[in-house]
Amino acid sequence: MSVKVRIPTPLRSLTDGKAEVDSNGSTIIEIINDLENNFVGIKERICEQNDQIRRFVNIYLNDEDIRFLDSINSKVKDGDTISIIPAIAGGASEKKKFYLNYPQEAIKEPLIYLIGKNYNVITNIRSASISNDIGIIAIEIEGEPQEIEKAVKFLESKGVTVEPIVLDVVE
Amino acid sequence: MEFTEEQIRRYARHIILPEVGGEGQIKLLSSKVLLIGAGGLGAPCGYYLGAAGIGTLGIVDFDTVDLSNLQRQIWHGTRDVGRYKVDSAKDSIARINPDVNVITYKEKISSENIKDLIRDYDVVIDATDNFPTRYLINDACHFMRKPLVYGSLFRFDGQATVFLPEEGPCYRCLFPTPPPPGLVPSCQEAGVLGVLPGVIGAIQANEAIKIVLGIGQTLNGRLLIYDALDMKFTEMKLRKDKTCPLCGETPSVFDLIDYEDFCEFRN
Amino acid sequence: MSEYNLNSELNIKGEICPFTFVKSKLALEKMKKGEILRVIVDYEPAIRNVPRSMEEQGHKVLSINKINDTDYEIIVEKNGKK
Repeated sequence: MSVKVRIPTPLRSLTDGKAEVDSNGSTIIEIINDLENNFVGIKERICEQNDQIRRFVNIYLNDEDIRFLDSINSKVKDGDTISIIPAIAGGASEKKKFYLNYPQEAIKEPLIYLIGKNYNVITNIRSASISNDIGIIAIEIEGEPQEIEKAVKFLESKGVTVEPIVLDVVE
Repeated sequence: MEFTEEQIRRYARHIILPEVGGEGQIKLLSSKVLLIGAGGLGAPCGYYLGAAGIGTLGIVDFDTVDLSNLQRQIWHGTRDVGRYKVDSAKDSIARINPDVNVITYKEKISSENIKDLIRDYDVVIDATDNFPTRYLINDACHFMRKPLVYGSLFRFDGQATVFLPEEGPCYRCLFPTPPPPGLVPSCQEAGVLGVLPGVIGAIQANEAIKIVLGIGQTLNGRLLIYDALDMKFTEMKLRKDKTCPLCGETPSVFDLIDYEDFCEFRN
Repeated sequence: MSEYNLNSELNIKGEICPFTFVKSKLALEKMKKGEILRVIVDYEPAIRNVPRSMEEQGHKVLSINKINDTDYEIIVEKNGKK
């Protein structure tokens, strides 16, 4: 069976920018496996390791959610359209959560204390992994955008790589 | 109520419509709509609701205007940078339509305050930008039995639908859980085409107005997908999930929870 | 002038389209089905536009007359269209 698969923009980096690709198979999981053969890496964005569809991604067979059909074993027929629809959350303002990558020389400095003291921001560490030579911290910085920007600039001036955490991505 | 001469002129194009008329316009002027988020989706949505003569428009947003917002958040201007978004929004609506009573809430919406915020409103619009708030609004609207107009976007993709209490489905039926942030290897700044929230926000205003007027078919039970790159609108069936922990047959969520914990940094 | 039993009269001389229809419609909304409204206008295009819009929205236009050098009357029955 040959079907068309609609690719959401976050996953198009894996399909050479194509919005729609052809795929073959008689069930949804066969289609996904065929997609993976052509576009390596796409399956792990859609499926858990046990092949079940991730719960923040919906797969539609034509206009029907496969969760309400036979899930990944739903049968497809020639000419069907499969759509991959991820949960997205964007709408209003900028994110204020970051990953901080500390270089070795910065690990011993109380940088998070300093941004809380010197700028009008509230910090909250949500996860951290620190070894002898590198530290990675996931942090929430709350405050006015200008203050957050100053805090980020300060961290960067100390050699810390500051990367915003984009929550609403499937990539 | 009697229309003033100014109102007859202002709302003439509504009054002419058989589906609206003077009676419908009075419904709009008597309605209360709560807009949560005064950013990309909130700006076009709130602008149209204000122009349409929604009588009471509540706007919730604790953030201030940043220069990087102006590419899409069209009711803020360059001079508004640094001001609270709700203040800037209120001024913008006042310039368009003095009939609208704008109530601003400079608050971060949370499990503690959301029930009080939405209690007096007829319709709630989710124009926010993050998963915890979206699940919070969904659950609160379910418990308080408020119609919820949902819109969301990412890069070039937009989604919109309407969740009606009792009838269902709800946001949890659509996406039972949010993506865990751990699955985000390449951390890049979230980008969005500036026009995209204009399209989706305007659709949200359209649906809110239809709910107030009781006309047409809302997006309830349908998920509208907009692809701005391909310029395609598609529609998916949105079904009530029997196993939904909120509105399913054996619910397990009976009150608001901690949505930050629910959405973030789970292992 | 008019052989109908008028329930209401609306003088909107000086008003132009589309406000002639908007005001006529608002007047009709306040009336009961079957009641008759007389609208007086002095804007000549209104005697074509207003009746057409009224008919489209289910009302029955009973007659249109020139009543003096400048004015016209439109007689309409609310929801009178079959």
